[in-house]
Amino acid sequence: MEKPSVPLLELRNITKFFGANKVLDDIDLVVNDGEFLTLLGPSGCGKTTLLRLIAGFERPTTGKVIMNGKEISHLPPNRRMVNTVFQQYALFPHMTVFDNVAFGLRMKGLGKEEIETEVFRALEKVKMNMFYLRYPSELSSGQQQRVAMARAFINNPKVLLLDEPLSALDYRLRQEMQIELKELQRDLGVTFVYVTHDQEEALAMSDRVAVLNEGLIEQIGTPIQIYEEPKNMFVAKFVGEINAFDGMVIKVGENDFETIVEGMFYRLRKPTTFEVVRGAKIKVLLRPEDMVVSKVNDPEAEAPENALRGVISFLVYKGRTIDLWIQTAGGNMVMATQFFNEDDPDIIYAVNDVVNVSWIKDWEVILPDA
Amino acid sequence: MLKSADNFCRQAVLYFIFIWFGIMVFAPNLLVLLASFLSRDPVWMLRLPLNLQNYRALADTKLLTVILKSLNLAFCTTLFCLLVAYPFTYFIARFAKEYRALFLMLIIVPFWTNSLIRNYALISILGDSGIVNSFLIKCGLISQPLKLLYTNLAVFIGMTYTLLPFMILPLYAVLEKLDRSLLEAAEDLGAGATAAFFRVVVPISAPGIVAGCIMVFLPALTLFYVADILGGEDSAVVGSVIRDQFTVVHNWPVGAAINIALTLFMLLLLHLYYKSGNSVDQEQPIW
Amino acid sequence: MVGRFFKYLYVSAVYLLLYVPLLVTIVFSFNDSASADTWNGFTMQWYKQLFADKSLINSAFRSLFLAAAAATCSTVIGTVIAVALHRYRFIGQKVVYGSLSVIMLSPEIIQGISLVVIFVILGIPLGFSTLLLSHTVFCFPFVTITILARLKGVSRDLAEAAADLGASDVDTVRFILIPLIVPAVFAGWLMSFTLSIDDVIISFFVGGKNYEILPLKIYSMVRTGIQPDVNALCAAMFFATFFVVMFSYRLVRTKK
Repeated sequence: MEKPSVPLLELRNITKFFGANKVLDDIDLVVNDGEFLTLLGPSGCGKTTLLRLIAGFERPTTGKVIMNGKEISHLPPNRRMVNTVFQQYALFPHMTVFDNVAFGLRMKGLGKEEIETEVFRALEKVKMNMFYLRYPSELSSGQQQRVAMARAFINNPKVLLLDEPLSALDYRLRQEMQIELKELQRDLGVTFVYVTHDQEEALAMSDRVAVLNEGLIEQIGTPIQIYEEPKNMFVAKFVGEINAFDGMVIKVGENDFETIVEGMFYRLRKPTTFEVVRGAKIKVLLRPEDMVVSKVNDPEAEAPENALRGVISFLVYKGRTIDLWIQTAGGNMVMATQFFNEDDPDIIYAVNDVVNVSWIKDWEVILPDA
Repeated sequence: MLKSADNFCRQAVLYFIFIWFGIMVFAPNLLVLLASFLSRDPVWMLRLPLNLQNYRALADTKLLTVILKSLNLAFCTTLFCLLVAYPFTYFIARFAKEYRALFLMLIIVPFWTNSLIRNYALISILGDSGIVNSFLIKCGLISQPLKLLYTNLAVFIGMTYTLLPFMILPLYAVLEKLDRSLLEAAEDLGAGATAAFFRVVVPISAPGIVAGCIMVFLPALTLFYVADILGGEDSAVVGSVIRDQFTVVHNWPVGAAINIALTLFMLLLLHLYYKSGNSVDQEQPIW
Repeated sequence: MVGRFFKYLYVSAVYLLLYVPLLVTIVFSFNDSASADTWNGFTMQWYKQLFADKSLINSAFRSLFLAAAAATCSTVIGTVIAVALHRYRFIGQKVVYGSLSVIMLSPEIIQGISLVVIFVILGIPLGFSTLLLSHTVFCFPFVTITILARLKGVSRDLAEAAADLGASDVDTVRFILIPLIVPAVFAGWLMSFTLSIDDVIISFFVGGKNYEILPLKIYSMVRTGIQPDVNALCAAMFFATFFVVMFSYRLVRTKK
């Protein structure tokens, strides 16, 4: 018989007030051993507060923080098996890199030789062993970030908490560090709880993403689920650009239903998340990269079935792709991202071009219109 | 275990703070207030009954003359200190960062010689055959030495000299933080250098100006030893009167009453200072 | 160009004014005349006389000892209060903040009177202990304010990071807070020492005959005229202080 598995970290019914201000509203969250979980949300959504509750810098107003089946809500930070990488790194300015990284081990009372071995092993992992005598002020922000990482994971935490650790870095370095962090997490086998407001970062690095908004978890799932099957408009809009069309259900069939979108008739697959009923208003959501655009040579000709007629009103060239903003006949603005096709290099779009817009069948997401 | 040790530490520190402030800061001032309502005792200095007699002494015309003259002197000293210190501080606050600490240190260094001595040294400068008179006579500007020493002018010079650093230091605290780009922004928006100075620099440094004025004005009322060393017969300041009540006349209740009046005056100035909203940041040190 | 020249001229002139009395004191300590305002030629006689006069030398050492003791006490107390104000939230915190600036802004005579009244009421004989307590009281706010300014620059993150890495409150104070504020602590000590050495009025009220410090001794001599050996003493004290401070300043700097 297998024992029922206990999750590594569990947050149960967590509510947090700052004065009269409710920042977390009845949060339930399970963190599994070894996973990379990201808390994603706009600033002020409560994601950092949630992280600080796990670290022990804040106490929940109500609810429990449970680790390995034991409640730890009442424990101070220094007695929790978690460590934090701070947003501004919080490296001790009066200590060398070595002393910073050794701090946690010294607090545990380890021997001098053991500390030395461990510190250099940790510094090696983040490729900072050459810099052990430097002071934080003598390091670049990327190097400070690595030291902050080493200082945290050297203590073998059960969970490593990262509070927007890459936000102080410039774009290119951020891209590099995303890959390094992911590799480091795999290498260490430590559970990461990662806070960010950058959806690209969240999607690129995480095993699971929890999208927060105004103290509530809107959706938890794999990056693909979050991106491809958002549960509501907030998630859909927050994790990337999206086109939302209004629709009206006119007939419900066995596996599909019929609807009118932008004055065009469509037959779409029934969504699994909710029941469509005749006469209901719905939203049809489509990512820009799922849109198909074709140039119209004869504007007098009728638009083909399942396609909207529109005019390009704005375009942004991005190197690998081109983003088009298309004004449809119905008056909506549709965004479409087109990849340059090596087989068809001649496609050149220009403002005021007349185009047909459609999408790849079954790639749409249907949500009830709230 | 650890938690309770931390808690104990916190408790101990807070108790210490309350006791320290209670005994050394609040109790003494409250006792002076009490003393100002007590009666004079030749042996114990203070005794019951309580009465208001002591405050009547404040209305004495001789005392009022001294107070008015002292206020006048303090006002002149403050104004002059501000006029001298402001450009000076503005200049040194704009010096390169690595030199600023040195220049600031140079202002403090004279304090290592007791101010009594430094005021006494002014005698050698202001006396009939002192440096100033000798210089003026040598230049042929005057034939007879000017009567400088033991006059109110000498007291004014002594006060200004003694208190100038107390104007410079608070001014420095605000002017050092003044962002150079604010001036550039003002000039960019069409203000001339003078307009930028009076419309941007002066308002921003207002907390420092007010703090500096308080730190000069109040001591200028009380530094009795400056008046003793440099002044003449009628150069007494408010501080001299308080000192006499405590050490010469031995009338502590009256001395306490004058002291309370001075304290109230100080609190009024501080109240105006905080109320004027000049203190942009309450925790910001005035030094 | 003219502006720059004027600027340096002006700054130099103010410094000159600040230093003239000091220079005069030093020059006249070598003056071969007992009068305070005429130069009669070089002599070392005042220094000889000074070293013969035990009571003057003793009062100088008392002053220095008192200043060092008061500076040390007010540094300890001021630091504790600054750290407590920074780390803890407690009832009366605003009052404590407010009192700090009131103490710094109040003229010495108000403090001197209030302290002598409580000492007399409590029956504490005026002497070294009352001088030490009083000097500590008027110096500690300067230490607290200096350190608070420094602590403000230390982000709260650092204390949290230490706790996160397993440090208790006491460890955090010991390993993070105190090392970070050492320069401010030193500056506070120096400030207190300076204020204590310079003080006349508070010492005048709370000092006693059995512990006569230099300013009180000199004050009692003012009306009868100060002998130039006092100039010699002050010059000697100034240089002694100057070198001690420079030496300790260098010590602190090289340690960093």
